[in-house]
Amino acid sequence: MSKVIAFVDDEQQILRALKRLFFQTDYTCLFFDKGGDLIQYLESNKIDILVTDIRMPEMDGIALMHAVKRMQPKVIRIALSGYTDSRQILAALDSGLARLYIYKPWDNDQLLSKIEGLIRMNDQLADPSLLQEINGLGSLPTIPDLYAKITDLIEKEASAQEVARLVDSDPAIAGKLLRIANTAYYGLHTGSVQQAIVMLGMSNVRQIILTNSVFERAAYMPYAKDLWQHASLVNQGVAYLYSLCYGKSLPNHQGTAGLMHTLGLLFLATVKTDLYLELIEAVEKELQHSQTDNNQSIFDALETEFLPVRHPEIGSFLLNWWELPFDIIEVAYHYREPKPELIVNKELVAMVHLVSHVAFGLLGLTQFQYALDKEFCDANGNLTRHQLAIEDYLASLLTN
Amino acid sequence: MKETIKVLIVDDSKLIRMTIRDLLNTHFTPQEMQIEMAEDGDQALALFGTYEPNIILLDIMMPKVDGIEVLMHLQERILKGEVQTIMITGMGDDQTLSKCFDLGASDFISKPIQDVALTSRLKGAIRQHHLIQSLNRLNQELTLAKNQMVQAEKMAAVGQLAAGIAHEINNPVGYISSNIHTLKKYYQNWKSGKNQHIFDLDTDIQEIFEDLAFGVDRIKEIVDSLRSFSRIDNISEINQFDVEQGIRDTLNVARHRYKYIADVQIEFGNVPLIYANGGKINQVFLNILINAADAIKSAQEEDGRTGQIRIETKYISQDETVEIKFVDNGTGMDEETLQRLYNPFFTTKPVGSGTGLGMSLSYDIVVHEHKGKIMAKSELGNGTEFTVLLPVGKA
Ligand SMILES: Nc1ncnc2c1ncn2[C@@H]1O[C@H](COP(=O)(O)OP(=O)(O)OP(=O)(O)O)[C@@H](O)[C@H]1O
Ligand SMILES: [Mg+2]
Repeated sequence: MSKVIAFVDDEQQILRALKRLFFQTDYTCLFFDKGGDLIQYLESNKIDILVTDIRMPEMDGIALMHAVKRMQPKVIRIALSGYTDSRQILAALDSGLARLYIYKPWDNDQLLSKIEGLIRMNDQLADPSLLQEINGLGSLPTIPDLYAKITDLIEKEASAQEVARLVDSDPAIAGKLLRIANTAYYGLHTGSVQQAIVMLGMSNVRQIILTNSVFERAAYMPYAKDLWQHASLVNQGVAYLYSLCYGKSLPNHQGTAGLMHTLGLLFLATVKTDLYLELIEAVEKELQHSQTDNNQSIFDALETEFLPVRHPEIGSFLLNWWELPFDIIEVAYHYREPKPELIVNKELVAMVHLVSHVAFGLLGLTQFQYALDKEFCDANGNLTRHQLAIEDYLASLLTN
Repeated sequence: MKETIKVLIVDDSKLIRMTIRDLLNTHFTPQEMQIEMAEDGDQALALFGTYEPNIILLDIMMPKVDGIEVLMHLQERILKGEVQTIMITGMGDDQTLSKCFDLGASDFISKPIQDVALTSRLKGAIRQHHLIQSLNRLNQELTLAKNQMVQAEKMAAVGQLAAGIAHEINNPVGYISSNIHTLKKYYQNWKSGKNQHIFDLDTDIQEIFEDLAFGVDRIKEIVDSLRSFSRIDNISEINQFDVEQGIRDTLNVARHRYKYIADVQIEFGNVPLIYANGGKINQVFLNILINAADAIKSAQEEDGRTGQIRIETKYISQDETVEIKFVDNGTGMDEETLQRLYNPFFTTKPVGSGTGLGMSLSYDIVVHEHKGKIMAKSELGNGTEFTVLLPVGKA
């Protein structure tokens, strides 16, 4: 059955341009020049995707997304706006209200491929067999209370002070935030949670709280510490690489892509500890028998054998379930074996792919290592020329 | 280190001059106090310009130019607080003394000169001198800060507008670029003989051209209007200015601020061109318009009324003046707000959304720079009417 996309914009010309663009696609497209009309339509019909303008008379895009979320929570919500740095829209993205933010003017091909990619990923993560496997894993980590409260605050565009007050109520999280803010990348030396929040950005704070809930449960698992160190190294390395390549800092809502990308691994380690240990043992055995270099993806080959679900799938499933920005979900799904034709934000995936590989190498975590796809890295940001710089940078973080 | 206080002793009696100088020298070091002397008013005034004393000890009764005359000559400097004067009085000078105080003298000391009286009066004068100096400094800093704020306000207003305007332009650019891409596709399909178009290509392409033209016109309009704002800072740019075009430009530039808030109704009286700095007058229109939109928005949040802004122009021939009225049906203002409307930094808007400089700047531009008038009539709950009067000729 073809997916139903509803487009909402108060300018007819925009709607007509979109109509022409989507005419030859397989989607069923609906066009509304008022949010209210869509709401009415939703009372007796279903849609899959909403693409909405933000500034509109009567009901604006934010209010519309809230209403649609209430009526049909599974609808993928996308903002399409000419504002480039509206606090409101960024807050919507941070809080998961909008999954993607597309700027006007848009590029036709990119718009199509973004929506396509989003739908594909969504379908993959909603695949019944995956769901079945995941359900078989036992209890999923529920969203921490604190997280829901913070999401709420972010949606209300609350101040850092208010968020700080909330975070302070959980010393473990507060400590973790401070530790991250005081790492070399953020370069802060502070004991103030509020300052740390300002520095990290609300969206990252929220995501750190999430990861923490997973890492917490995995804390006593073998390699949990190493994986946490790896994840935070990668997070800093990606930010560094991004500024090397693009001369500006990583957009806020992508700020925890590195921290999150191995989430599935930790989760599996917690819920399927035995299988996970067997897997690592098997990988280690293989490693001893084989010549090191060209067998780097032993882990991936064996993972399917030992575990019911691969960790990139379960990781991105969790991130999707928690309504994190699409870019981060995509990274978790594709970071090991990027398939360019399936990826929307190839630049970000390429960066994490490279940095994560380097970091596994540096930390001597050969068990988890994968083969580097240099071609992909170079096609998307000409990255391999920075490989040495990244190694140096990560090494310097380790010795500090 | 503290600055050296410069004292000037003016008396026709050498004995008194010497007594005072010697007494002062026993209490103040040369670093603390420099002393010059004059034997009559003429000499004192001549010295004043080069020596620039901070404190003058001034005898009232002197031959030729007496103390009163000296005071009168130095009036301006005294009132500005640049110099303190302590009168030296003899017996029976009471009446003249009160005149001295009227002329700005700050204190007096009677003959014969006594040590305690002299030093304590002098210390008082020194204190006052320092006070006035720090006041002056503060004042300077404030003026500077205000100028910077005014500049920042202009920039902020422009910056805020810029974000809104970018949005206004990004919309048409959005569908123009998308449509061009679509046309290219159509063309490629047509060339390769793949005419798999399903709807009526002819009407579709016609519609695309209409949309393209519409979008380009829209952008052109915005850019043209912006141009008339870009001259804001060319201070002395007085030119023939079309008030009605200025209003149209302002409406175009600020459209994103009112289009979802109010309907704008225009009644132009076909007024003549005036001599004015167009960029600045537009800035005034913009301030008033945005205030109106803000006021309507707040009122709407209360009672959901439909917003209305009416703009009228009229030529008043007997005064050779153009009258521009902005009428809104927003919140209106209470008596207190009306009173303080033009005060710099007066705002009732939440922190971060208004600096309170809009109307004060507008007042400056209309009243001081263009010799015009600006008036507000308002009633709480019932909207506001601003009237701007601008002379047609050069101010
Ligand atoms: N049309 C109006 N209706 C109601 N109140 C008004 C109107 N115009 C001005 N005011 C009042 O006068 C105050 C001062 O206006 P002014 O334009 O000087 O500053 P502001 O609008 O608050 O801030 P700024 O213009 O610097 O962003 C406003 O805060 C508002 O209370
Ligand atoms: Mg104002």
